[in-house]
Amino acid sequence: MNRANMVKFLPLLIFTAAVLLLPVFTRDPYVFGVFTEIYLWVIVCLGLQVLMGTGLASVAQAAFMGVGAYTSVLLVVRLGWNYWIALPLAGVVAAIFALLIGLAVLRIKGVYFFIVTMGFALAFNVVAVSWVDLTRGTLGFSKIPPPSEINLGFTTIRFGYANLTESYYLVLAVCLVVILVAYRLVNSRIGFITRSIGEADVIAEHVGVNTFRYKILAFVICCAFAGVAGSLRAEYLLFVSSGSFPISDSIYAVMYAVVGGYGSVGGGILGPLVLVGISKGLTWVPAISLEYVPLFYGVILLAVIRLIPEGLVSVPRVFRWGLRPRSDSHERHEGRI
Amino acid sequence: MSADLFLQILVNALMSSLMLILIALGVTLVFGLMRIVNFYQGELYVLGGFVTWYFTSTVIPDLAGSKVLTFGLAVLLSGASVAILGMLIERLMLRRWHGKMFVSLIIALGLVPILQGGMFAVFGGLDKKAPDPFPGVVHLGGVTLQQSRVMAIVVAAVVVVAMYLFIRNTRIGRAMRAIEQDRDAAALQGVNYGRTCSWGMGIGCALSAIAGAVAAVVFSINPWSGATPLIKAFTVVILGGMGSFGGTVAAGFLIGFLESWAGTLLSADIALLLIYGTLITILIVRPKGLFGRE
Repeated sequence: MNRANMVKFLPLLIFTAAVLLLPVFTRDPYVFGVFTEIYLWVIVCLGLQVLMGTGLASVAQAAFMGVGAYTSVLLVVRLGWNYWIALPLAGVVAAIFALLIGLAVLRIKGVYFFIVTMGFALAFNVVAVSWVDLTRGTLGFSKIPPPSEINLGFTTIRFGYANLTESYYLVLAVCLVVILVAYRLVNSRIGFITRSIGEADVIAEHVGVNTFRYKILAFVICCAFAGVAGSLRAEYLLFVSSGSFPISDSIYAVMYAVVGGYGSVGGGILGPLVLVGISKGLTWVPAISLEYVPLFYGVILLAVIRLIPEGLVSVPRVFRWGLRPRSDSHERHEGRI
Repeated sequence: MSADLFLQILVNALMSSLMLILIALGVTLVFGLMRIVNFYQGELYVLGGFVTWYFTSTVIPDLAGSKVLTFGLAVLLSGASVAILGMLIERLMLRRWHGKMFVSLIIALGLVPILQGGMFAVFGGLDKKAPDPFPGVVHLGGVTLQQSRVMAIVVAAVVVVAMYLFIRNTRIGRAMRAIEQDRDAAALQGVNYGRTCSWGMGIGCALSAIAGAVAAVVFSINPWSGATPLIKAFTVVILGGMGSFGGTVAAGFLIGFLESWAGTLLSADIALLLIYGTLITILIVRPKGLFGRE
């Protein structure tokens, strides 16, 4: 990688180094929890960015996290499978659900798709609560068996309550992998094509792009990421219940993605980092109770749309990755949805 | 099934339908005019309920000794205040994005938690229920019905009919239809786009608010109650066809009845799932909706 690339990636490298070294500086479970949450949302938001590149939006991400989480938990708890198999399978199952929904609904305007995703999220919550035989409803699964240990010869990596650091690294590792995958994806031919759909799908069709197929691909990828994130969260918390995936989380995910920088990889990282950070920071202010956090999110979202439409990622020009947002990046999507 | 139960379900169905129709009409109106997906209609519905609750329980318990009068005033107040709020929001945040569905959707999405937070700040997070101006029951055809529900039906029906007449016969109504058909041609005919859109937004919001005001007597509400009515209303809009008045009404009855019957005979959850299933089916089979124009 040449000099210019180094400069471009420098902030991320610094950040990566910092988070890798985090356990050196602190052992506080709360701090681990906050960062893990950020990583999980980064994974979800990166998937959303891929989808939003197509000009679609989804509020079903939390539900797909739920699909992934329940898949991996059920596989581990009910069938006794190895978590290391359950994790990718979580992504696969989420992808299958996404495929089914996408096939049904993606031929029509994006607004309808959005509403369908909202319906899916609500339906998922209803099923999660009611289908107690499968999901154990509101009680959920607690004390989930942690992933089996990895024996590396010179040392054994164990997971579980006592080994929070290992879980932290696991989530971080997956997150970094996802970032890499997303970056390569966005800059690949597939990414190029999906973005062309977002910008001008009529023209894309005329050039021979099967928009339907690529929209499905984008949606499937998006939900697969969410599924993996859900499975990881279940592993980290060792707890899952029907209340773990409210639709409000999905709305936050969309906000993180848009505030960070619509359709961009850097935005998918910056958004969750900044907003989750702010929400945690707000909890230290006694005057502001928890219920007001969404209010701040909403205000920040509107402020960003008004003032920095391309999201936080465009603020330092150094952070431009994978997408070159222009000032009319929102005008692009007029009527395309 | 006893006649009593049957009629109860029927009355509930009518009420649900009309509530949904009111909200859905608001959504459809705003969408048809400005191509804005009014995602915060659910919150406006709840807000209408809160304003009514606040007015009738705290400000003036009874005006001139009449609870009915107070309630009527409260409903009007709800409608007016929410309409003004809606118009302000439109003017400040959404005016730039007329016709651009995606961005207006995101903005509306951002407005949802802001409105919820605002309601929480002002009214608190506990469930509230407006005092009943029509307590007691009425006997209709040998069957016992709650008066308040009957009142809700009557009020909602009156509003729907009024809306229909308004769109059909008044100048503004015709202006709105003109804009929906062809914005530029309407401008050439002397229609003031900005003003008409503001009115459209105001009316759309008022519709939801009135539905909420009336519902607040029957159901209890909290700042986060808006999501479920919203998704049902959107289902109605899609089923009926975006931008179609008649379609919305027809779809509203369909969904309302489906919800009532399934909700009572099976469970509220299954009713929601059925509604969602209907939504998906319609989108696969006939995306335009029953009477849709696009």
